[in-house]
Amino acid sequence: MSLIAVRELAKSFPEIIALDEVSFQVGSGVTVLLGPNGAGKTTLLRCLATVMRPDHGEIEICSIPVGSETNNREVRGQLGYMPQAVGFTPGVSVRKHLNRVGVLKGIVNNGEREEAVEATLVAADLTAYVDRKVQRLSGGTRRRLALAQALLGSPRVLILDEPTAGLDPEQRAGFRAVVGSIGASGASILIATHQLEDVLGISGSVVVLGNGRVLYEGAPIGLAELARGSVWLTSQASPGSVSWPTPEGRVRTLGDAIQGEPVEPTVEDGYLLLMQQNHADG
Amino acid sequence: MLTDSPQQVTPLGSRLYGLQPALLLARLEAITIARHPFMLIAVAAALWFSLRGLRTDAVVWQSLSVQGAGSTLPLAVASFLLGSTMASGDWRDQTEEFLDSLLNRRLIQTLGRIGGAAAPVGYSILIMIVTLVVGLTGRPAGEIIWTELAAGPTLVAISWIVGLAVGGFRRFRAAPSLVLVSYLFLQLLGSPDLEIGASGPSQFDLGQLLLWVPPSAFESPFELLLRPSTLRILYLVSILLAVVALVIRRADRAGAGHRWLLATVVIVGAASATLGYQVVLAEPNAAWAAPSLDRARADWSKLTANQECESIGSLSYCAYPGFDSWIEEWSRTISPAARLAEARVRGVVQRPENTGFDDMDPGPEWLITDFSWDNPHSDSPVNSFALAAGAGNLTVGLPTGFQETCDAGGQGRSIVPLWTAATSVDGGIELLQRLAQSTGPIRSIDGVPLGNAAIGTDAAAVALALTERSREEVTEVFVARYDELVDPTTTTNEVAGWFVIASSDLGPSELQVSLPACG
Repeated sequence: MSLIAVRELAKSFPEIIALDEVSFQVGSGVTVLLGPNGAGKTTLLRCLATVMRPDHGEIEICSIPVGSETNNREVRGQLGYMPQAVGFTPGVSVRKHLNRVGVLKGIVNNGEREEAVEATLVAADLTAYVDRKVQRLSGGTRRRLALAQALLGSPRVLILDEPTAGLDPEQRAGFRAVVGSIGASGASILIATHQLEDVLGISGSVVVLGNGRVLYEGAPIGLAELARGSVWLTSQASPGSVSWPTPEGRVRTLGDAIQGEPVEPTVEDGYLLLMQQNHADG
Repeated sequence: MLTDSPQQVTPLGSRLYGLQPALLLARLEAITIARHPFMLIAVAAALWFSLRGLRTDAVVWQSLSVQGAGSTLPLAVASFLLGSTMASGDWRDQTEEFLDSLLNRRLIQTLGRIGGAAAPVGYSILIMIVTLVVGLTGRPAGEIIWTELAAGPTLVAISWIVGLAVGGFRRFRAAPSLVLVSYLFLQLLGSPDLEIGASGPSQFDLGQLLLWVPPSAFESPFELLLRPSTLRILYLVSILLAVVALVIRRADRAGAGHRWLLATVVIVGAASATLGYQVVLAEPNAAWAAPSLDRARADWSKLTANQECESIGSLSYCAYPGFDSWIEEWSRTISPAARLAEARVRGVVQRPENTGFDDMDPGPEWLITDFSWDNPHSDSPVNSFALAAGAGNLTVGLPTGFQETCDAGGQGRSIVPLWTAATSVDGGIELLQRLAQSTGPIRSIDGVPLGNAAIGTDAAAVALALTERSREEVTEVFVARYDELVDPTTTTNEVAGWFVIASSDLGPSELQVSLPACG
């Protein structure tokens, strides 16, 4: 069952087509949304989170069509959203902030809300910061608080925009553990990121956006397979192709008909190849 | 490190949208605001403004009502600043995108914030209560003007909501500063020191309507008549409703499901505004729209006609409604002086201070007092001292009340008011010592007029010397030589001589004033 369904979604800004007839479906588990800067990832997530209206197209979250205020309200009751730009109203502690978010999420029972806040504090590893004012948190801790406020209330659909930016390696590992477990529990998590290693281990599917269009939708392994026969170890870089030196002193090169030793492709190879083709297609 | 413990996140029951979250949010906002250091400083300042002077003069409920409402100015300013800071935080701190993704978004968040006004409004009500309770200990008189008191919390609420409104103007970031400066400028304009509002425009106009907004610094019932409290509170409530409607409208752009609420608020706001307009502007012939001074004169005449008089002994005491509790104090203060020449004194009447309304002159045999009296906690009883001095003036033919001011310098009879005041009032001798040590001429003490005659410090020195004699001895001499005493040609030196007081130590008898000599 798809928890997120997008059909022919379009959104334009002056002189920019951010989303161009985007369609895909996401079920339970973790889905990674990949794409270069300006591909339309943030615009797409904003539309999914009901904070931006698309020009046309359809979105369904938990089988509820997004659009009317009544439906949007119902959708928001199922959503947890972590925007790329994270901000907090200064002057309140972490606990009070989450308590306020709990009220805004409609958790009006005090006991239930306190319990939810406590559980979220533990899950996001924020228990050491409960009484700290939000404006005094470090960058990484602010990201964790942003994740915590998205997680609060156990939403069925989590939409996370660059959630691991600013986290140290240990925190990123912790993030993978939390998100992986939530995904395994039946929720749907859509993560936009540039850091493939953070999420590929836990994701069941990948959506790649380029120039506002879906370039790939499917399993990570499928993305890697796209590059099969196009990844080589060569002695020197090939002009016009994507390449980088390896620790062994050779060059890993993406492209067709290159003289070299063929190697097993990775998801990153598949993604880079897609981007290369997308650029070539204009 | 992030913890792998999603199973600890408790599955939640149904989520609620609407009034209940708004109320909960309002409670959270109110608690945050109530504990904000800036708000606590404002509360302290407002308390200071509200309680200042409450142990100097006796409490007049009308004045205290105005003072209580006016003292909320620091709270109003703090509310505005905190409200605008909170509203501007949405875009300044980049919280909008996340907040917009929540079940209870803009409208509910805004309603919660509007409800946050409970904190500053609650503080202002608390300050009113404290002020009234402290006022009870200050020999209170008059009547509490509840509508005037209500203006304080209403202004605080308006300030909070206006703060929320202008804080949201992201394209005009200077809006809060501009509004605050304009507001304080308006407050200055409303100050009676600038004589605008009380006697400036003779007709009500839009400009004067603005002067009805800020907390008033007026502290006299006279000025209150120029700006009726009931009309003002109606006007303020209209503004409040209009601003609330504006803020809700901006928050509820989608409008679905809440248009009824918006419509209700807008209709009520518009109706109130129309009412305010009709009441204040559209009926130029109404009594309250007459030129200010004429209206004040008419109001005072009506009030004065309703004065109730009480007889104690052979004297009458006439007070405005609510001030009869001071009659006993007046009687106790002037009776020693009245014994000296009872026939010349008919009693005490209460009149507004410095109105210049000659038609309210009760006649030269009446002592006039205004709306000031001494607080029982005060150690400087200047008001009773002045009333007793006025009684002394009457007994020797010196002017008081509505009579022309004159120069009594060097006249022996000018000793009598000062001696009378010093011996009739507890603490009067200390006040007389202050006058005797002054450079003269003596016309008032701490701003309270001592009758309408300018007196020299030589008279104060003789009066001070007389306080060392028994009251009976001095009264006996004054009564025995009454005709000489009231003769304007009898000098202070001559009167001093009656009591064998050396005249060499007395101050100058000539006064440097351009007044006609008292005849």
